[in-house]
Amino acid sequence: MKETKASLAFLCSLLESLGVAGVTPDLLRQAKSNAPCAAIKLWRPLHDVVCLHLCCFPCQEDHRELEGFQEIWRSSGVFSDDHGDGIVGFVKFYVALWGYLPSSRFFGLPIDTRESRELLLALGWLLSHCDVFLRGIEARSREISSAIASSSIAAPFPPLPRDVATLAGSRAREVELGVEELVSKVLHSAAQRDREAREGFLADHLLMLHGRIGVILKSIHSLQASRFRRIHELNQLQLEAIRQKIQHRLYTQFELHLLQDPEAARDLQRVLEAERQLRSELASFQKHEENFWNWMADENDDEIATPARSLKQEPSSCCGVSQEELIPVIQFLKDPKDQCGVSPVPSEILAVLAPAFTTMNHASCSSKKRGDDRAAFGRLRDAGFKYQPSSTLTTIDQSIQRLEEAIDKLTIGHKELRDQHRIAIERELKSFLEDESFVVVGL
Amino acid sequence: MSVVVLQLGQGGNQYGLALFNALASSRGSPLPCEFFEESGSRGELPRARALLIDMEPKVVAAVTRKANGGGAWKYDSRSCFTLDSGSGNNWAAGYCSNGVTCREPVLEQIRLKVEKCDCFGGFLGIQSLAGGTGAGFGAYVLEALKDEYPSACIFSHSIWPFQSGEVVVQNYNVLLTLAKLHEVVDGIITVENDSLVAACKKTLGIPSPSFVEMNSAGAHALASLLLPSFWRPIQASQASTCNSSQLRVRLLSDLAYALCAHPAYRMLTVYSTPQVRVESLDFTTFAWPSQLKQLKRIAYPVELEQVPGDTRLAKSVQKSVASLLALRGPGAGTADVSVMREPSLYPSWCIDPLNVCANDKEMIKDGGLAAGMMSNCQGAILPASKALTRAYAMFYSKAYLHQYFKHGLDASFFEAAFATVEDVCHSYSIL
Repeated sequence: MKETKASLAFLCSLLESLGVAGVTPDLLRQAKSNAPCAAIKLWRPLHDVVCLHLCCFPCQEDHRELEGFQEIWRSSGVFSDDHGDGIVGFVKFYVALWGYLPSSRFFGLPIDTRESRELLLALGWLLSHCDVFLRGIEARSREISSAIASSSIAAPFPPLPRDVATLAGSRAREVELGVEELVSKVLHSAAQRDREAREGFLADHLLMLHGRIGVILKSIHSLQASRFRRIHELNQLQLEAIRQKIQHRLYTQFELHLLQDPEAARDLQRVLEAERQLRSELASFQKHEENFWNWMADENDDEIATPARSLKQEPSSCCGVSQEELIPVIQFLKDPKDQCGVSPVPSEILAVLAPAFTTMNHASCSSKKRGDDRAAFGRLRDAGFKYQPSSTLTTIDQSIQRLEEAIDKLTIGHKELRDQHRIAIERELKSFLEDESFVVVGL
Repeated sequence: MSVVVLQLGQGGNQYGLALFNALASSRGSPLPCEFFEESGSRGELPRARALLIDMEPKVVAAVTRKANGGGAWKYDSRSCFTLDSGSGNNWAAGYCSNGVTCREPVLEQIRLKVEKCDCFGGFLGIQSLAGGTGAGFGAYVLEALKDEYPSACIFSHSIWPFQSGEVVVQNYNVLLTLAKLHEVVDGIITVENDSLVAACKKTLGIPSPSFVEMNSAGAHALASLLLPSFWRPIQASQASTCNSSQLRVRLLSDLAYALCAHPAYRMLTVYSTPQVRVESLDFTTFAWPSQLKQLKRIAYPVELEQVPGDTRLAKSVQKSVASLLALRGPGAGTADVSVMREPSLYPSWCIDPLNVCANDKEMIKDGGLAAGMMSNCQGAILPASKALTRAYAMFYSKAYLHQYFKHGLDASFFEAAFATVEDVCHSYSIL
């Protein structure tokens, strides 16, 4: 419980740091219990998250893009009749555009709605869609990463002291810049000469350039050779020290460098601290995110599981799933010639499929029925179906078995065709059932 | 970037001693680690990163004794290589005979020196061009180093003999050495004994300068460029005071990069200011404009000396392919060096030929300013033209050739060497 509370507080602070105002743990809890007073307060966070997503979550220092959107909010206010509807429409438009359940009641809610749970569900979907937790990690890690980048210790850490390791590289970089500048000057100067003079001029400078590059290559080679020799000497000295028990183990060149240069050691310590902080932040984000989604799921289970069970207890009021609703399977079975060139499947095979699907009362499918939490939960998952995991797997296995028996009884003589037919049916069935949102609510 | 100095032959060893003394005498600065290594034990003097090579032990012993006589540094007693007999001023004896005989022990000693460098920057060979050991054996050693250390920068500091003649076959030796060095080294820094004498006489007030004084004058000029310094922009407006954030001049690769990139132009000359008597230093007023003006006058004389039989150089104004200007003293980082940027000093095809480095620390005295310039200019090859003329005359009369032939050289070797030097002279003459 404490963890959930902390995670909600963390989410609220995260949203605030990203630029989403007005979300508090109390507000979320009230919305969870569908408190009417929480509904009006959730429009603002919904609007802000949409704006942030449109602006690709600008960093803390650069909220100018966001200011335009937020200005609308400040100047109009959500309670304004004129602009309030505009803002709500704006939120609904983008939420629909990004794929929120079209049949959700959210789209029918007015600005002064009392359905705070619908808004919470929409907000939860939006947070998931926008990867708000990921954005938060990025924002938090940006600061830490900049601390690492500003360190004089390169990452990954060099295995050698800086003065030796970077000497050849820095020499090469210097020369590269020098040569680039020289070449541009030569070309510029050559362009101002007549053709005959230009050839001699370019030849002289080409020779000079060749000579300079040769000198630099020799210099770099010499530096590298010095480096390798010094490494060898260091190792020899260490081995001698170990032999005399002055030293216990062979240090790497980098370790020796740190021992010799206290400033570099402090630099490394800063970098390691920053890395550790970053990892700790990441773990914290993951834990809070998990807690938050568990909290959301708890809400769904509490509020939705009971109606679902009650539906199963009322078989008389349920209607079976029609053949039209068994979209691909029925089509496949009805017209098998297109698939494998066999004759139509008799209706007895279709009959064995029926128990595989949970049926549901059409009346309970009405999204406009007030207090229908089950429907809301269904919309969170998918538009059309709810899979009942308790019995369906067993039922499907049984169905397949019975289907095979039925096929065996058929007079299709050709075994190969029969196997093809069976495999096709199994594949189609399984792909249909792999979707967690299976049958419950008809379209 | 540490530099291993190879002191080759009598002249090379004496000049090397002067160079290390000059490097060690820089005011207010520790001994540059590029040229000196810390000794292993406490209280011991730093050691020069040098290998003393001569075919006779006398000069090496004298040089070592002088260096180890209570100065700020010393030579490592194990860094000497000598034999009992010299090369007899015969280039072929040094190159063909002694070179092959002594290759392995010399390279072994060099390897030990290189391994003592934290970050090896290259070799600087100091040699005379006139004799047998410095010129012949020196050329062989540098050629061997090119094979053994292909990634190392190799510079030669070559001392031109007096034009009046130190050795009868000096022109042969000079041209054979120059041709070989041009093949194997990245840069050839030349210094003329005649120029050193003139400088000592005219500006330092020494009526009859000794070799020690001449070497000291030349070594100070070279040290002004080799001591630690930092790159700075040419434009005074972009320049700032020297500090550790600026790039340090890395020996010797930066010199090769800035000055000797073109394969046809590898001859360098060194100039420096102030050129005043030591006793006059306390009464000298230093200012960057006057220093640079004096340096320009020395480095870029308006007319070259007339060369008999070769009018091309005589008609040309001395030009430089590239130059490195080193300023030392207060305000070196911000001094205006525009006087050295005049387009007339450089061929029209050169882009950014002037490079400037600086160090705010004084080199000569408190508040004193010093400027050095290493220039890849026509002045460096002027003595070669004279030597070429004389050597051709001797070669066609077959004078002294048998002394070379008996060590394995033949006429074609001479002709190839002469042709190489002639090509170099021609390249410089058309600047």
